[in-house]
Amino acid sequence: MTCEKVRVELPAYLAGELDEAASRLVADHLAHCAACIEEMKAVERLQERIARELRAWVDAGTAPPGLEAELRRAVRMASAQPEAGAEEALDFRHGWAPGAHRPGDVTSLARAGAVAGRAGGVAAGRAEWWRTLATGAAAVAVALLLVSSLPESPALQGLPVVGGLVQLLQGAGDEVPLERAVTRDGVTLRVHSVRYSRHETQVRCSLTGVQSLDQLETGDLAGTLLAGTEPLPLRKVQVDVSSGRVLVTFGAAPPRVPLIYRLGPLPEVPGGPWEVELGFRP
Amino acid sequence: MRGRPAADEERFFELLRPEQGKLYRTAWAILGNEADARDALQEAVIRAYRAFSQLKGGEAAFPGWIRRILINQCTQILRRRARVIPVERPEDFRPEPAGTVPEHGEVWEAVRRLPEHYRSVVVLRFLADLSLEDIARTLDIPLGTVKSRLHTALKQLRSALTEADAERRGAL
Repeated sequence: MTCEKVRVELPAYLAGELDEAASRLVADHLAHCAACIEEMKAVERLQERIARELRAWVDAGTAPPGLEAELRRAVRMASAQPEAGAEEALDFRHGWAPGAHRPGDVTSLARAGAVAGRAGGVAAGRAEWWRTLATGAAAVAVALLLVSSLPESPALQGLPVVGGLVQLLQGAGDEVPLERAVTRDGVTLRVHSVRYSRHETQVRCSLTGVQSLDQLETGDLAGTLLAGTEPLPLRKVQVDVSSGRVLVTFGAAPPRVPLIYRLGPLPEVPGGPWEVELGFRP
Repeated sequence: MRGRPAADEERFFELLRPEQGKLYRTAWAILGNEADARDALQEAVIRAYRAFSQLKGGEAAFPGWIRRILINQCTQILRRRARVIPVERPEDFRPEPAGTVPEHGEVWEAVRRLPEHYRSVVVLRFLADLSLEDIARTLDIPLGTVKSRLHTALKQLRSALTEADAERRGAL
């Protein structure tokens, strides 16, 4: 074991968090390396100082003005509402996760003559299917627009940087051309434009190379579009199954608020029922 | 929780009052900004209030109990944040209002100057007392990454503190 590797392990070694084999390797090295022994003592002193002084800094903290009143209000408001978890949670990733029920492919949908559906107006299984499709399409479109750096998720490795929306949201206006595209696994997602108004945020995009929705790995990409900390309500997803063009409509985003794309399922999409329309002609 | 006597609320807030500042700083340190710190504290207080009648160990256990609830709340926020991709740096658009950053201690000053991915590891380790494995789970990163981040962060902190110590000695 090299000195550098030992030094990376020192905090875990000092805290007894290494397994027996790794701990023995470090101990063996320390037994004949005076420099690493000195380093270990220095790390121990430094860690003690950081822990002690951080704790002292916390203990000296005073509440900002108005905090207690704010907390009392929150407690009283929470008292008037059911506890978290009582509401029905919508898991939009259901149906896309490996091994779960998957929707059919786009072309078979077109053949079936699926033209329009309302999440609130169809049978439960079908409603879920629509929701899944719409969310998948929306999430893919939004992911394309908003991914500006990559998390350490292997599923997303390889997605390029495609820029942000923020500057577009600083003033309401007409359609803003964007024309950014990304290709993965043979599927190209292209965002054509974004239109922001006081009433809604619309994203025009298209998917090409889609043989089956399974290819999109939307389980990885499903997410929520947040303006600041508030999720924007998804209102409508319109899909032209023959051309692959999609128009996704969200609620209005307030100006000068950062847009954030949160990966993962959508446990808290706000707003009322939203609409999915297949057969839309852009 | 509905219909809980007002006396319970009063007692709860009496116990909370001396802890508020500490809890606020803890959340601020872990989450790195005022808005998230307030959100975490608010949620933790609601949870604690709901579970107040089940507090074991009497009122003496209250500070440690609510601190643990707060740290759990903060780590939940960090887990969610680990799956968030900001379009632009949020701080560019939400400038910190003047006077809301807690005053600095020397170590805190050095810690808060660390890049975010180092700072969060240090704070979770030394303020939230999480094991390296728990930090890896919280930040959704491999254990090896936690170790290397902690190693680098400690090197940077040592250098910053040595410099600060030297400046202080020079000023005396």
